[in-house]
Amino acid sequence: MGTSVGTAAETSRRPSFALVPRLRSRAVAVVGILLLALVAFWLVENAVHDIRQFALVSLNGITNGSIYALVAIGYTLVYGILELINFAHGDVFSWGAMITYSVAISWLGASGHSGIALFGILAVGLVCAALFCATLNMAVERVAYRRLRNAPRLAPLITAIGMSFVLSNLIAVVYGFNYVSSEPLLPRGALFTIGGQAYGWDKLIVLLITVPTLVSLMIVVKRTRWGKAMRATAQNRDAARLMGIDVDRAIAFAFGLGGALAGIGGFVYLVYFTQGRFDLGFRIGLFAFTAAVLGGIGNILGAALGGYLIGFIENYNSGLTWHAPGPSWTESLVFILLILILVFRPHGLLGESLSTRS
Amino acid sequence: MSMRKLGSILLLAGATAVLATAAASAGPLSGKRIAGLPNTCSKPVGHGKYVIASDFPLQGSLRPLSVQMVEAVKLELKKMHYKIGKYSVQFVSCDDSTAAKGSWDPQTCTNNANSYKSVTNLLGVIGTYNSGCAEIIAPIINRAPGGGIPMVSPANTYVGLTKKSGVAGEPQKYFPTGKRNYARVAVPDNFQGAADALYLKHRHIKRVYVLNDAEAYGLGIANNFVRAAKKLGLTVLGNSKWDASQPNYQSLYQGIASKHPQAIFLAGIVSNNGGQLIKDKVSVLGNNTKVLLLASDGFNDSATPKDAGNSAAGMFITIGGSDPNKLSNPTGRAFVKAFRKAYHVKHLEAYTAYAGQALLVLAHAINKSDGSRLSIDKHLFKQKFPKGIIGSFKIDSSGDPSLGGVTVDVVKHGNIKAVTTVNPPLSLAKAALG
Repeated sequence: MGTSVGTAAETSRRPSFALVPRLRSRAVAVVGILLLALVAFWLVENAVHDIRQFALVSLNGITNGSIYALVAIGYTLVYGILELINFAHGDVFSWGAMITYSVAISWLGASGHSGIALFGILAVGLVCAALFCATLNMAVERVAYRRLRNAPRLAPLITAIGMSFVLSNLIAVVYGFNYVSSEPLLPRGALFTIGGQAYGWDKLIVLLITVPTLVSLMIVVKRTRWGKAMRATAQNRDAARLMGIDVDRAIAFAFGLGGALAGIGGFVYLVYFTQGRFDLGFRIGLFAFTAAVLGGIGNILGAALGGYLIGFIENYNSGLTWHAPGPSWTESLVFILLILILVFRPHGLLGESLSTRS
Repeated sequence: MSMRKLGSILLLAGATAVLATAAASAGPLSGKRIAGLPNTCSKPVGHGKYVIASDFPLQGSLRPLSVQMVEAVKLELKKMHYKIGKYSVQFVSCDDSTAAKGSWDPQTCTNNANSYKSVTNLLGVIGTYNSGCAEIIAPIINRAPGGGIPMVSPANTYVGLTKKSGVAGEPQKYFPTGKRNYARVAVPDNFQGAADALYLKHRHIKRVYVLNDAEAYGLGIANNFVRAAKKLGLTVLGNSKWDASQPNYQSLYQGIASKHPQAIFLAGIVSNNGGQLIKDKVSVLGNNTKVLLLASDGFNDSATPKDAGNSAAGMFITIGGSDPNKLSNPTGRAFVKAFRKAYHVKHLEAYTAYAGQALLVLAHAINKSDGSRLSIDKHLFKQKFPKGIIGSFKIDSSGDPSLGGVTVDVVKHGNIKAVTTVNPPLSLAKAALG
């Protein structure tokens, strides 16, 4: 027989006590629904107010969101396998942008080329950025995190913050503290126009790089042996080891994969926005981490969804004209959303609840 | 000797070398720095009992501009053989920026100001460049023992530092002792805002959108511009903030595009992601011929064409006073010639001549004083400079120069070149004040 939980009289009284939390949770749900309705009303009103503007800003949101999604997945991959928030990931992204600048712009002179030559140079830049960042992220794992795998959680967390500073300062040492900037590399001609405003080829190219990358990642994680090894390690490290999986290599693979995605993100950022700086990864890393939490940290699809969501928030807030708070409120809004999600849905939009997992 | 032992010795030697290098480069250990001043200040040049300091952002995109201001102060001091009247002075250059921010930093400004307070033989400070930093430094050094440390800025243009600007407590809050110790030689923003609006009117612009960086200077000049523009009958479609940490501004401009502006006015400093702001303006609204781009003097910096590349082509940038490269008065011409010769530069940055003039304003007050700070403070005001570097002018009782001319520059082939000078009427400058 199990542990006694109380007398019969006490048991009979329990439903009346349970009524309070149930009412509370209903109240919370009602407040949540009201907030969602308010946001939906605001969006619909803006769409009705100026549908063309709404469409253009939404398209910008998708473009920016794609970059956040790439970085967010790096956070979620590492969290999923180690339950570590790798704060250095944003700085790996910065390195991706700067390596692209060095290889494609400084060394291969992308600005002076067009057509196939430019495509070739950019392809080299992309591969270099992805490879460099994959190696860098694996090195960070090997040097800074591996020895702390069994240490209290605070130790790797502080180490991750420290690594973030080290990586960003290293960029400053190599590239200086000022912006590196280039002329537009991607074609900016209009693919189509909405209300006289152009949707440029550059935005489509960003999607043509990021969306297949995200799909490929899903395939790698779900279909390949390495992906399975990674998922098994994430579920139960000891069991995975007993099943013959090289856990260290699986973890290194997750870091490599996340690093490569950050590198591709950095590449896309630099060729699309045409400038970068040593502290680039701070804000983007913070937003991407938020995206990962929004989507349900540990859930790859959730991280991508969170990335797009933040892209939309950022652009709706800057670009919509009917009662939009304006760009100075973007950070506040993103983090208010994070708090709301954590209050109403602590496991994120697509994440499994902790109780289910346990 | 075992390899392990050899390794340890090499490691120890390496560590010692690193420490020695660090010690050599660190200030206070050298014994030559002025006691009380922070590491952000250089070692002194010149020799004498008294000290004059400059305070500019020496890191980040404004470095070239700041370095020239420091050199201009040095040049004038050198001409005087580091002797102002009967006072021999040393000069130190202090940095109010951090490498990490790449621009002025409020904490560094606070630290610098507190250090100045502790140096009893500091006769004055030439600076700052950023009005936001001056807002921090001015009230701290106003309370220095022995009287407020005299401060003359070559570049602060924010109106509220010297006159009422509509913000509660200004300008009194910068002088908590009730005695003023601050003057400047830069043309205040109400003149620049008025001139900007007037220039747009001359160019037949009717609809303008304003973006500001929300710093004291950016917000201040944006408001001055808006008031003057309205007075001139221009339609101001909006006055909103750009967030320096945002990766791009395409959606912001798409929101603006729906209002069909003929011009955009940027009020702020280029180091607040100004390069991206200009690139995205061109990307969304078209080139600067299609939708005119006008920026305040915070963009009058070689970093603007560098960071924005071809997108900066054709944009207009104003600056209070005259183009230092085209000073027409004899003292100004002589200064430019001497500066070019001494530092082997062709192009003088926007505030180089003003820095030289700021030193002369301070020197003039020191010369007329009894050597005490209170006396120097008193003599900062109501000075006349009929043959100043930047022309003939007076410093009024609030510390402002009697200069109102504003130069309009254009970015052409990666360089900033003067186009014309706008002299806004006093009534418009007053209207810009609000």
